[in-house]
Amino acid sequence: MNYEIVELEGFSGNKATIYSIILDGDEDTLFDHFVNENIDKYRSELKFIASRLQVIGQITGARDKFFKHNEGKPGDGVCALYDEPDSNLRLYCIRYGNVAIILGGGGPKPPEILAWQQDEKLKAGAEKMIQVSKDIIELLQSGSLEWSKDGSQLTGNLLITDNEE
Amino acid sequence: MKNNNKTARKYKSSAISGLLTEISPVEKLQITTRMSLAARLDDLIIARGWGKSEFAEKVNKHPSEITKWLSGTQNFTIDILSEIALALNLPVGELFAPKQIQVINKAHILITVKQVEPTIKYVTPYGDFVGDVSNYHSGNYKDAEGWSTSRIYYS
Amino acid sequence: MSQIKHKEFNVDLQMKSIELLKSSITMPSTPEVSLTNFNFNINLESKADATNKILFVIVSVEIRSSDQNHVLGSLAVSCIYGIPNFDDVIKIKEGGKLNIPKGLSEILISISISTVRGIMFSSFRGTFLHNAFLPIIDPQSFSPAVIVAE
Repeated sequence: MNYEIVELEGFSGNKATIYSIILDGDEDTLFDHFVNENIDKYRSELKFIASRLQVIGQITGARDKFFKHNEGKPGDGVCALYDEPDSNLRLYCIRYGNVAIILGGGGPKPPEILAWQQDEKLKAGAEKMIQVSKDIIELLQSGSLEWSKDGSQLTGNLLITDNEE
Repeated sequence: MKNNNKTARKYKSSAISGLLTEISPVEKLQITTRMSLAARLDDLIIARGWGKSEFAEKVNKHPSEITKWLSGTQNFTIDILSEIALALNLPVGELFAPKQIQVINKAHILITVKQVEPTIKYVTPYGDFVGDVSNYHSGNYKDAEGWSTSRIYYS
Repeated sequence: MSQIKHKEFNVDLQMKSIELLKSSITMPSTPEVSLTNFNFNINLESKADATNKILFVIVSVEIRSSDQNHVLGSLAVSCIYGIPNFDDVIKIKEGGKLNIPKGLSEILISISISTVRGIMFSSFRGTFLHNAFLPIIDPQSFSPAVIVAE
């Protein structure tokens, strides 16, 4: 998977940096796709999600209780923005402490499923983030990527290709 | 591969801008308040060394309810806030506004100094000089023209 | 305002105010109390106001007789520092604990002690405590006992 990590201007602030992913050949981020695919049916819920992300970036930071954890492999940071039982959408992300998150995609969560593996859309969203998280861990270990001194910004070559890892 | 220290490209999303402009000021404030309150509650629980289950017991709720409270999505009622404040032993108002000033360091040291040069030598004889009682009193009054003046009385 | 560059942090520092909280001098009532040997009891308290981006360092000094039974003089001073880049330098950890870099804490303690030394001299000048200079103190003597915010 080849992709670019970009910083989302509308959400990022001095409490947390909020990123998303643009896949190779695409112009929009995974988060843009998540919004565009669901805006007709779930506009009000998307507004709520957007507003929460803005508060995370600018006021509270990415506090761990704002997320549902252990959505990916143990310790990989893949999680979902907390969604109430009666909400319709799930958004996958990777959380790096209180200071940075990478937004992925997601989708409607059918009430009958217990785990994302049981739904194709959610499975695609979660698996992408699991891969991105794995890539970033390897690139941090090799030194191609680093966290800034204050720990809130990823630096380095943020155009990730299959060759790089 | 070497790190060139470049940060991520800033990306302006029309989807995000569109959503954010649709959010009314009151909606924005509601969400900000819910999340700030959740963050404050989390800090207060952690500062007391309690886990989620322990706090749940104190407010007589299921731990899953506390998860929701701390998620930033809860719309707290006054009644729930009162229960929380009581469990934390705080006025309800302090759930919204933390104490402004924090003590971050307190320390004490003792230093003994010997043989200081006594250049100023008092000639007043030793005695007990400390006392609140005096035969002289002073007071202020306003004269006919409104000026305040001191007058010293002896009683 | 001064910008202080340290290997761990850069801080913009202002001396916003110096407040004299307490000052007293008491001549002992008997000649047996030595006026050449003193004990300096020094209390130091640091407080932070994250909202207004200021730090208080409150130094209280008691000059006691060598047997510690008589308070000969006392002074308490609050040095108030403004830190415009407060959020960059002082981080709030989970639980509300403020994390001040050790280097910055030492700089502020050092400045505050020196300020109090000067005020002590001018307060006690011309008295029997004229030569009771506050000794040079290693700021590291005030090992931080970090207190979690309530």
